[in-house]
Amino acid sequence: MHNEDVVARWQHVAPRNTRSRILIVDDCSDDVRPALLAMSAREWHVSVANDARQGLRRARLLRPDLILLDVHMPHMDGFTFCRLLREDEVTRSIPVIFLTSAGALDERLEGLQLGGVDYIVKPYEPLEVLARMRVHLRLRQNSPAVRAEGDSASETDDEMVVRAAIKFLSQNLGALPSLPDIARTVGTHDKRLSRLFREHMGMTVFACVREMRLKKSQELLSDTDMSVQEIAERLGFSSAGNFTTTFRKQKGLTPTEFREQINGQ
Amino acid sequence: MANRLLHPYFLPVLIIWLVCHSGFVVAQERVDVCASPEMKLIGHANILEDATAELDRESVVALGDDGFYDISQRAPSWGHTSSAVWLDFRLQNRSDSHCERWLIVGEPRLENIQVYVGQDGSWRQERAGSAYPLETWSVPARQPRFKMIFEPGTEKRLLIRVTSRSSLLINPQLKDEQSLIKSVTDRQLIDGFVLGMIFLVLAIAFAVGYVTRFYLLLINAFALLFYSLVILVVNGYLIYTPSLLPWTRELIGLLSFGTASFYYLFFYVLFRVRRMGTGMNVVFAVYTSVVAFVLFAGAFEEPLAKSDLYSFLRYGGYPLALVLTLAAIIRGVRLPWFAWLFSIMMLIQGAQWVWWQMGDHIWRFGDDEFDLIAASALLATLLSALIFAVVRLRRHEREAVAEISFMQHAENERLEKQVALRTEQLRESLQARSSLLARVSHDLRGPLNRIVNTARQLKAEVVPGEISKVERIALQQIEFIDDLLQFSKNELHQMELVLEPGYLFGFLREIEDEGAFLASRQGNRLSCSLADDLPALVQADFRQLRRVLINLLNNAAKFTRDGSIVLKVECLERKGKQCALAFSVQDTGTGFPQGSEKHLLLPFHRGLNAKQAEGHGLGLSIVGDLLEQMGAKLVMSSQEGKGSTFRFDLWLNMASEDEIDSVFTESHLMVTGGGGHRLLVVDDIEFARLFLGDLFAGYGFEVSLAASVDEALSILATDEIDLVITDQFMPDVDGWALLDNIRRSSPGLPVLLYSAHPPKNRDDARALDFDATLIKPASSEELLACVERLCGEWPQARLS
Repeated sequence: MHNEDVVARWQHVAPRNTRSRILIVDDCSDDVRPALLAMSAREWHVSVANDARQGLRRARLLRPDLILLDVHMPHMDGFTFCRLLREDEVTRSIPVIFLTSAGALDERLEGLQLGGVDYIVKPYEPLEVLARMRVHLRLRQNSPAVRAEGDSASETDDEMVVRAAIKFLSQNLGALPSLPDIARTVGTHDKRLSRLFREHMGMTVFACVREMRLKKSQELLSDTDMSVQEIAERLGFSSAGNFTTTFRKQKGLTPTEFREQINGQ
Repeated sequence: MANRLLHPYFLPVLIIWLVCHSGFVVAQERVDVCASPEMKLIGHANILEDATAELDRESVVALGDDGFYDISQRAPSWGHTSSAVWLDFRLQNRSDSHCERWLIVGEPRLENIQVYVGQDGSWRQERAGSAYPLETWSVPARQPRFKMIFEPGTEKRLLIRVTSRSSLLINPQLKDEQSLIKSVTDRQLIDGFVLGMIFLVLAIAFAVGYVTRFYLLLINAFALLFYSLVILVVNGYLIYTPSLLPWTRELIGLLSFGTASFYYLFFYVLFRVRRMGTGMNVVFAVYTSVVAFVLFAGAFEEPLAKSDLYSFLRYGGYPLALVLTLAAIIRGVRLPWFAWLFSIMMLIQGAQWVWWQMGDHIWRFGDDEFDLIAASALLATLLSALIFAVVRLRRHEREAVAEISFMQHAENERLEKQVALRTEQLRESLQARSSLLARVSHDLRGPLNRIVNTARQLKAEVVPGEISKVERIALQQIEFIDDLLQFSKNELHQMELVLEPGYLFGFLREIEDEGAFLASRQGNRLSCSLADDLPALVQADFRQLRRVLINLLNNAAKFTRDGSIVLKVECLERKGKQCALAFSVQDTGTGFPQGSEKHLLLPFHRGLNAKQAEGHGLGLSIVGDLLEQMGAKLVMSSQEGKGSTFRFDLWLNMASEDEIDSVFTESHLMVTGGGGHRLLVVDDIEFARLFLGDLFAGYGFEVSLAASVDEALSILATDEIDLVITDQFMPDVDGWALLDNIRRSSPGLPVLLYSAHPPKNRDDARALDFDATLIKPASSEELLACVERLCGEWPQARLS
């Protein structure tokens, strides 16, 4: 069977916890080619499914670390895929980034509401997609569930520093220490920390902080009753207006709209 | 009024009658009783007033004629009296036949009547009146009467003793059987008729009053009911309920009280006393309370019942009606028509009564037979009120029907208008859609054709510029589609502006770049004139502002061929944190005829001379809509054939650099080639400094940060630096001063200006120039490329 072949290959070539596994679900392979090209530079294992059902089967078998998901596909659309994914214990916690040409507000809302960590509208900038993927992969590695799964023995020193820094940052989003202080906390100096982030995350430390703030804000908007103002303060945005602008720039809708949609359901 | 005909007469009747007929010689006159079938005896009476009421028949007889007085000489002082009144008659039958007569002493209300008939020294006693149980009456009839038989030629002495707490309405008569029957039946017929009518009307009034909630009618009906009951009791109808007979007096008092209460309440409502002001209300309340109290107390308290006040107050309704009518006129209170009717009737009755009090008319009322008829005033009012109620009911009904039909009519009209409006809207919308479809196929194909053409050229030979051309055309295509989508969703009208702080010059440079590309299609040249005094940072919805400007530039490019297009931005005015910016796009194209400005702003409408140009006519309509939302207005002017100018003024809030998200845009470049070059970043804004440091450090540069020129100079003095990146305007000392210093101290050290504002030297005399200039926010790619280029040059420069 094709699927078993894939599993076998992955298990053979990529033992767990060393390389990130990415699943791309898109019916149009031309659309994802730029992203695939960009990813080829990374030591990632990438699997492409051209059909949602096939994608779902692979997700269950391979348990990828991240899924890039299209919305409009024949037979089953991306939203249904996402719902089914959330039903399964094994696949429930896999982060999903929507990568689609469906850019309407209600579609964005539905995607984010179904637990999509990000929503990128085509045409996209491959390197930007890559950068965002890395943030979410890192954040996932820091989550207790995934940490528990395996050891980090094979991790390089640099990776450890980045992971520690991200962990530290995620705990200090509200009142961020200065760059040298952050570097000192994870046992390095600021210049090196910037370089490590550039190498491993494809972005600056501050840009990474912004991504993390946005991810956290999405969680707070859907899981708590905190006002936009409170969330902005808690996550260290300079103001509620700044929070709204940043959120809207990336997600395509305002925090209030997002909150309303979540509550409306 | 109820009581007004009850009692008003009897007291004066007797008195005045007696006074008027004082010429009679009464003493010992024998009356021939059988001469006529009907005979009034009062003229033949001798009267004795027994103030103690203790004399019995024997002592009266013993007094002889001395005790009696001739009423022609002295009027009796009683009307209401506690005295016993004795009447003495001598009767004889002069005819030679046997004759029977019925004696009637007076009105049925007389309480205690004793009749003594003496013949040949023997006396026979009979009695009647409510003071006695019915079975002891001589004849148990409503009208007490006594049978007398006169043998031919005989003579009888008749002594009548009357005591009563009511008026002593005494009018002794003798009637034979036939006339008695006639008078009784007449009276009963009238009573029956009147009472029947009253109760019928009452029943109707109660029903109508209840149904229509017309309280005036109900109150009026209650007043009439009580009054009718008073009359019934007064007229002896209690005979049918013998057990109540002893309480006649009290019953009359209570029923009078009830009558008066409803009667005054009726007044209150009828004359709308409530609207007559506080004073009038107080007077009314006091007066009616006094009346009610006196009448109520009078039922039980004899002294009070006999007082003048009591007598007056029983007729107190007349003056009150008169006063209230006058008050209503003075106060200008509007009264219903039957209130006027009522007061006129009261006036007539009052006047009649006063008239009757004077002169002989009183005779006609010796019999109090008008009691029931007197109810006519109340009855008439009740009937009027009833008619009024019915009329009112009908009117309300008619009004309700009219209102309903009016509402139906209005609703129909509204619906019709709605339908007409919707039809019109639908028609317009269909027209817009159909013209949209016609153009979409053309417009969406145009750019695609160009993409295909470009791609074919690429196949033949790779020209670097052509690739970006394809990209730009495609992006432009996407914008076209977005416009169409947004229009089809009608989103433009409800879109919310998203204001965010941003770099104005960076934004305008981008527009210029895009505009130049658009202009180049038909061989046009775009020149951009940005005033020096524009604010560096503003709060704006840059996305929408970009759509406005690109649409205008695109529009200009479409209708101009081999001409020039000028984008001009200047600052008109500054007010606090706000500034007014004037944007204008001027072209040398075909222009449009005067007067068609409004037309151009409608969706899918285009200038008449625009047939062959691509586009779907949405451009200007979108610009108009967006500007309206931004609080600005598109002003256009044109000379046909010579070009046109589109212009708008926009008020924007100025922003500070602290509010900015990032000082550069991330390009996600993967190359890391800093090669250990040492950079000095000088910027007074901390976050800008830190971000740039973070960026360059990430690419392997050694970065030093300085918050001011002084700090930068001290770093330069101690450290080896390959490139200085500086902001232009800083507090105290600016980037130019730093440049000047560096040029003098370390000539050849490259200095990159990274500023929100294009370079603006304060002092033109000095020929200073930065090695390179980038406008914030540059992409990280641009920044790195520029930095690497400058760093690459520097070592050589330093070596040389």
